[in-house]
Amino acid sequence: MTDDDDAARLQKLAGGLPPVDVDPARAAQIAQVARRDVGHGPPRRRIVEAVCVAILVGATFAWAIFKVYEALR
Amino acid sequence: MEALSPEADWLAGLRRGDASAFDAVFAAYRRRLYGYLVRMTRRRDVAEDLLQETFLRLAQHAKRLTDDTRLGAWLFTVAHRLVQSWGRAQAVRAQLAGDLPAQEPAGSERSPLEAVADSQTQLALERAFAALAPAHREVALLVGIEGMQPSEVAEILGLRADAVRQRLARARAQLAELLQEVR
Repeated sequence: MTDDDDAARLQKLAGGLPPVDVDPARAAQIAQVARRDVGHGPPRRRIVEAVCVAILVGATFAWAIFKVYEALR
Repeated sequence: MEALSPEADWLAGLRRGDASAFDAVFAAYRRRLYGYLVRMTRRRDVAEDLLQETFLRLAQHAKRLTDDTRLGAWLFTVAHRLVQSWGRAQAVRAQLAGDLPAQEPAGSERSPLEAVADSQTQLALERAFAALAPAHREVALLVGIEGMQPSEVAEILGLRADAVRQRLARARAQLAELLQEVR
């Protein structure tokens, strides 16, 4: 059986599945929440978090290197 | 002059931060994405949360979309990754739960999807799709319902086209077998 046959048979089968949709009230809520972010880019909190983690990791790494250096001296 | 497709208008609108372009994309893709998400997670509440996250990411990345972005593929790629993360979190939770019994015992209660089936055929189909392994179900849904080409599905799932064709053939064979059993 070819790929096209597989796809055609699947499309025929899937055509019999019942349609599903999100509850209209929940859909409106989702759209409202997401719409607020259009054109604003990722939230600032996400960037601040990444910077804080980078500083913490960097400081820990520097401290560890300093301690190893101190022990070897 | 060649008329712009609605998708080109939507992309331009999204880049400008135009909320009406977002609404148009939401209206065009909401049902398709929700169908995919609910059939992958088998839970309406999770599908709704992942749908919201998919559109939040669209809103947040709107300015970075380019003229050649294919919105359908972009949205389904995000949805696929969210389903994968959710699946991984579920697996970890199941592992932590150890020998505790499964949350949903194999009872006779209908799933939310089965509840919308209004005929025996629809019910059998819904159950057959649900019985597929998630990796096969995903390909079956994207090709069968969304009418995507294997190459497009491969791009969305981050797989080689050969792998998608293989999954497609297995999904079709397994569905045929499952549906044969109920007849």
